Amino acid sequence: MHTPSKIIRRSACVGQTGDLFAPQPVPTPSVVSARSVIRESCWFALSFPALAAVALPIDPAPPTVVVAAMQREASVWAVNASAARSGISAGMPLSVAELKVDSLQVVMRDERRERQALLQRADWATRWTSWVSVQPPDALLLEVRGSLSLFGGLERLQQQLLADFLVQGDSPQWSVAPTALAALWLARARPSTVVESMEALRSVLAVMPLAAIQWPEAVLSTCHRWGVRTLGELRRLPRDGVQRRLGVTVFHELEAAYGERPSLRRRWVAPARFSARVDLPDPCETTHQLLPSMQTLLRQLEDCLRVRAAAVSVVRFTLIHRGQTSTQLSLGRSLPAWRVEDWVPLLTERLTRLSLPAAVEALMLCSSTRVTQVPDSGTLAGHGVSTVVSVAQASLLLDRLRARLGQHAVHGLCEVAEHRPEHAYRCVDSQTLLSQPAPAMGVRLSPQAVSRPLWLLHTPSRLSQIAGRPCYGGRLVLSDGPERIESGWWDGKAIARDYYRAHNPQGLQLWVFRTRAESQPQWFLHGLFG
Amino acid sequence: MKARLDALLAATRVWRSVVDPVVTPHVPTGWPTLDAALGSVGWPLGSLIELLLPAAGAGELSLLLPALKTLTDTRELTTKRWLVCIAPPHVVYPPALLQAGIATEHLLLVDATAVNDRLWAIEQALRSGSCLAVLAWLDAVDDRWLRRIKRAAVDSTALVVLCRSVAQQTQPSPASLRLVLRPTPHGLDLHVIKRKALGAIWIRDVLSG
Repeated sequence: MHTPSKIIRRSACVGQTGDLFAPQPVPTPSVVSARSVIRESCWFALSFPALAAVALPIDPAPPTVVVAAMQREASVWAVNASAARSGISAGMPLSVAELKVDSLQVVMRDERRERQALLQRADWATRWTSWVSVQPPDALLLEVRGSLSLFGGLERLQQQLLADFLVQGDSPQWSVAPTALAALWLARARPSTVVESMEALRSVLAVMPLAAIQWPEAVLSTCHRWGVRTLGELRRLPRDGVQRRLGVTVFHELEAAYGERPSLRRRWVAPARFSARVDLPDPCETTHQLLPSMQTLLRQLEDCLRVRAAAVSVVRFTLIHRGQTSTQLSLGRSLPAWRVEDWVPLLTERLTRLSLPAAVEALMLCSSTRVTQVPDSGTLAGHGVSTVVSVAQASLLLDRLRARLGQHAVHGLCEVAEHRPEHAYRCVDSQTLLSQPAPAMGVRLSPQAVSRPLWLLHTPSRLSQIAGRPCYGGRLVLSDGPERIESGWWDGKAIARDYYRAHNPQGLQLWVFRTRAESQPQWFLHGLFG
Repeated sequence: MKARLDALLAATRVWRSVVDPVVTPHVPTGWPTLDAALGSVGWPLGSLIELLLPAAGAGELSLLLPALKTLTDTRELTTKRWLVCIAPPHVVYPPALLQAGIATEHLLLVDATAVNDRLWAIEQALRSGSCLAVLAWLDAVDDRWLRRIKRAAVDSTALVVLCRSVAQQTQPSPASLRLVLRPTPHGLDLHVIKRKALGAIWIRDVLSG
């Protein structure tokens, strides 16, 4: 009841100070004019015409064409670089292409690989902008308005981006336009066009031939019958008629390209787990031949993680054999890691001990979920070893030992506040081991008045007796004791023992006990003071 | 006369058979009689030490305990360093370590049954540069492996101790310090059978003090 009146009073008070500070009307969530929003954007479209050829695991050197279907009248879907140099282009009949080059390699299109290759490029593109949209089959749309000042303007951004893709072995077609669809059309039909304002876009689109747009054949033939060749001519026709005759989809696309209708695009978000696959050119028989390809995959993982300042703690290789059987190889780090060098020591350790049941044809790498990683900031003036570095070294040793000896062969120990000696310690997992400083575990008992042995036997070993006296390499001489420990009735592991310190004729200092429960007392060795 | 001697010794032309104790890092053993036998400095760090035992648990941990405490107490506080125990014969009992003042958070235990795995683990621990001390329990080992471990030890700054059976006493070893342990009702007798630049020596009743 009080809160609303308080707000009203305060707003009235603000109102008195003058119009400048008058309370603004609360902006209602209304549809903002599509025109004004789109004018703000700067869409960078990238089209990869050779993607269908590049995505396939084939030798890139000989002239190669990709076809969508193996028919006699098939037309070329995509070409690789050397085929393009021979004058073959996409859309050409296959028979014509075969006339141009003697030994033309013809392969089928693989849409799964194409999609994967495109997603890989989308992932790569996220280093230029966070807003990337995947446009199958072969294009990406990047909204770069927010990145312009960071990279020093559109021209610099474009140069760096293309140089970056060139390093990857790609030479995409590109265009820049204020609307996404126009940028995409321009990238495919008139590459390397930069349109920065809506006015310029309208004049560029006006002369754009309809044939360059991937509209359905029926739409294009209808326009052809009307005598309409360019977008400008189509726009001059009455709108309702165009919408009725060409369909709503085409009409909406037209409006979206001109920025008169907001076009919704799905933003690409990298999956939380990295996953990649590489097909080996030749089947590998031995494990050390696998290492370079595995490193390539790990390098991709590193690239993916570095741009996101992230790390993963488990990676899993799947070695795919002929006949679809597979071998799994998991590598774990106790601290999340991202660099190739973090994994290679563990990987080589595992590979040397791995025997392959069959030749390996392909490799897959999957990671666990990414976690954000704060990079090490180093120490001031290189003095000493920083905490992060020393923990990283310590964890590497732990992980390396585990890679060879097994997960449970390497562990820490800590004390447990418990009277029964065999329950007064437990193994510690790696997270706790590496935490700095180690948290106190349980309640720390005050140091016992009676000293404990440095060595505890895993299980107490029964001692033989001579005339009721325990023997271990000779008759024992009891020195300290007894210390009576009687506990554990609540969990079914009750003990009732009298502990003594003893030494044998060889001088070994022993920790022995006598059971009290039985009518005939037994002597056991439980520890060594050595 | 002394000044002239000092000048002569300071010149690099003169090689001294007794290694300057300041040059190589050491950690005090905590046992005055043993320290005296080891050139008044203690256990050498970054070199191979062999303890030869009549049986596992004959006093090797008690002997090393003061040095381990010194190492964990004087390490750089912000760094993470391990006390690695490779193939210990029994459970290294945390309550006893706490009584001795050693925090268990440094303790790293490695279970390895195969000798090759143990040796490999020792080498990895030494090469990692993240260990305060490496204690390993071994028996008959190929001499080449021991040399390999010695090289790794020299490159590290850790306390490197191999605990082996007293039966290995007659076997040659590249270790720079070899001690035979002989437990007695009063403590521990030590027979230093090999030490740098000095001869063998018997030390009686070390742990009794």
